[in-house]
Amino acid sequence: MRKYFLAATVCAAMISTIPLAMAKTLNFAHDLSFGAESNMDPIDGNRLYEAIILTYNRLVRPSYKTEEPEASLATSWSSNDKADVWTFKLRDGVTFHDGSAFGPEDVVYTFKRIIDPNTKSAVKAVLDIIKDVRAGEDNSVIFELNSSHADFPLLLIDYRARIIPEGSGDTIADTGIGTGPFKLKTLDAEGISEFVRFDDYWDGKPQLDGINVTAIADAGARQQALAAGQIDLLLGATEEQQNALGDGFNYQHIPSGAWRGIVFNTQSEEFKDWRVRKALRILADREQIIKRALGENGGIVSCDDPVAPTDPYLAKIDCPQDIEGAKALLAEAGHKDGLDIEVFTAPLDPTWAPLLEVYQAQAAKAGVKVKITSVPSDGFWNDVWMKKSATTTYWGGRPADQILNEAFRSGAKWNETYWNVPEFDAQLDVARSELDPEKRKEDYRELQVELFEKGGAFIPFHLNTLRVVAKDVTIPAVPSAALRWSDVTKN
Amino acid sequence: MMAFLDPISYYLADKIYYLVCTAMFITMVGLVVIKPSRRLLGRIWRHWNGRVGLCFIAAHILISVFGPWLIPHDPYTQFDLGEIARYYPPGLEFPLGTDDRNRDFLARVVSGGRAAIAVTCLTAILAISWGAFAGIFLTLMPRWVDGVVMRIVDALISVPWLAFLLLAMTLFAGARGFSFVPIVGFFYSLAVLRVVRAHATTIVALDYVTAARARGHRISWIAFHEVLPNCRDVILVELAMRWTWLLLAFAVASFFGLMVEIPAPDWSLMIASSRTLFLSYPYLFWPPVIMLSTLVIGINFTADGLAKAIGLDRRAADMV
Repeated sequence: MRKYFLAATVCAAMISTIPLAMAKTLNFAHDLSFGAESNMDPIDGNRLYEAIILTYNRLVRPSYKTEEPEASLATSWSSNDKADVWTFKLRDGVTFHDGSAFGPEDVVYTFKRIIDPNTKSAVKAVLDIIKDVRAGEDNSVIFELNSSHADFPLLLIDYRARIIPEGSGDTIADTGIGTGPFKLKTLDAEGISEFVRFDDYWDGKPQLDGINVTAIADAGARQQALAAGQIDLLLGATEEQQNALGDGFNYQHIPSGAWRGIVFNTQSEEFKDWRVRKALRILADREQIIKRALGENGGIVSCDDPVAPTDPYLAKIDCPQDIEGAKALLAEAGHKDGLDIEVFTAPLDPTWAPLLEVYQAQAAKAGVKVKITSVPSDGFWNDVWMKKSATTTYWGGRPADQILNEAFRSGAKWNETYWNVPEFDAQLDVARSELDPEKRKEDYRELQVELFEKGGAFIPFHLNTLRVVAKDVTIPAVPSAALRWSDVTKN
Repeated sequence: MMAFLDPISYYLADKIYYLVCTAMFITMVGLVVIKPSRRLLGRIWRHWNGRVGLCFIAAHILISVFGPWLIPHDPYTQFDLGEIARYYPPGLEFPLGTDDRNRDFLARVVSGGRAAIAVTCLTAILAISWGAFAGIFLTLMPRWVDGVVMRIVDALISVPWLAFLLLAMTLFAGARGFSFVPIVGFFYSLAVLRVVRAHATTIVALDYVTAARARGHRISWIAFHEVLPNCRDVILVELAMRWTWLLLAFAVASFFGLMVEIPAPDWSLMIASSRTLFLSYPYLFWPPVIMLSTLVIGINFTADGLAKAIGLDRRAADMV
């Protein structure tokens, strides 16, 4: 009898504590893509993304509406006339999770560590433009650049450029000490990592008591965990999952800037004529590709423009389906009786096969026969991509300047279309060092129009991220890299 | 060596599929019409699993031969149906609705077995003929040859065929489907070789083989005239059994997207793409599952019935 009484008491106690303990703790999952290697070092290749966005801050952060920089740990910034020396004024009265004060020496340390060739920093490629960084007067830091860059603050938005305390490089992977809204309590990359509210957060006390990040490797299992109430949100989901989950949740379609597409080698025998390339691109009905390959709100139409829909430098281009125009261009280029092409792909990305199936059906209307050849995922990036003259591709979202330089500058390592136009390269340099914002915008616009006219990349859409949120959680509908976690609430 | 098959592979699979189906149809009619085979069918029919197997196979043959004539849509057309860009619900026009690219799902289900049936039929024939001949010849060879070869076979049998298939796919980018035939055919023939060899060993020891040797006949003559006829039952059952396992092997490879090129229909590929939908769109998930499993079960049960009908115990054969 006593045994049963004890058991009943324990059960009752457990039941009554669960709602209390979970009342204001947000739960979400990560997909364990780096396994047990996952750690808290923001510039490590195995950084646990879902955790570093909670515990650290950047100097500048993206605004909620666009990818323009907004004050974070830096309150204001300015450059010299050549835009190669930048001064950032830092926020006063900020403390790290361990109680130490935040100051210029931490910023200097962080960025020296990022550009240090010995740290194997994954973000070095982006911030290599920094020549030197030093503390300035009056709580500020000064960046000296290798060349002019009018949009240097945009580079500092990179989600990995997060400030850590001076001298913490060897321990940061375990401690996770930053200035962010939540501090690390326990790190268990293969289980549940716990974070608790940082009461002295400079941007106001966070609304939640804590956040638990659980490792759930399988997408189906994450969906079930959400349906069962074990987690409160899915950071990325599909339309099929939305259909399966039903009306009990809120769905946010968030422009991600990531794109999928088909790249044609502009130097290859088959695609060296720009009319062929343009025909292959304008024959597509991009709205239909989105609806049929991704689902209703799966993406935003892109006119072969790699620049993200939220980017302030996005050019406005119109690109309706033009079958007759495509046929005419093909005939001009000597393919009066149609054209046969072969596109290589792999089961690496779930959107490639649907994209190709819809594109194939649309291309047939313009007399273009598309043969789809799929190879095993393993060898795709090394043996097929940039080796065969037409392949599928994917890119994550990047600021305009970065994506144009990484994917379309001649000689760039990932110039997948072998786009080799000296004037284009020259204009990239002009745009980067142009200090007048309006003129700079025009420079970038011309580059994008040029790519739509003659380029080799068919970019039908930018993906939307579908975020599924439990009804009792409010979370701003912005990309997770821009999200301010102190704003998130749960009832 | 296999790359030349590539551009025509699906076309070829389609033709072979029709040949296989027609041959099966003719065989089916023939079996019923010709008297001795009718007796064999009758004996298979006596066992309940033989009965189920024969029904499933007959249904599959009828669907694949006559199905495409009865369905108005072809499996490739992506329909423009106004507001609904995909997943059109089932109705009169599309009895099973449309799939994720707005194609008639019934048409895709009916033609979804083509590549699998054609490719695995070829593979089964290859595996059986090479495995059976090697098995019979080995028993007639000097003992040490038999010993050496069998140890090599043991080593090879431990290698997973999927690894070799992946290797071939990487080497001959795009040589899918038909690279399955020689590679998987070879690995499956090893198991056939062991079974047939085990059976042939008992025959080679019999007096009439010794007599044939004494008469001075060549090994090949003895193999074809004395041993092979006595192994026919085992080989027939092996053929049917291996075919079901090959269908499963093909389904596995196809599930991972290694076999059939999109947008060609294939049951296993359909299952792979709709497995996350089975709660929201069950009618897009179950039909290919049912088709694939009834075919596999059908052939397997018939093989079972056949083995019992001709007095072979499959469990004993499996253990070798």
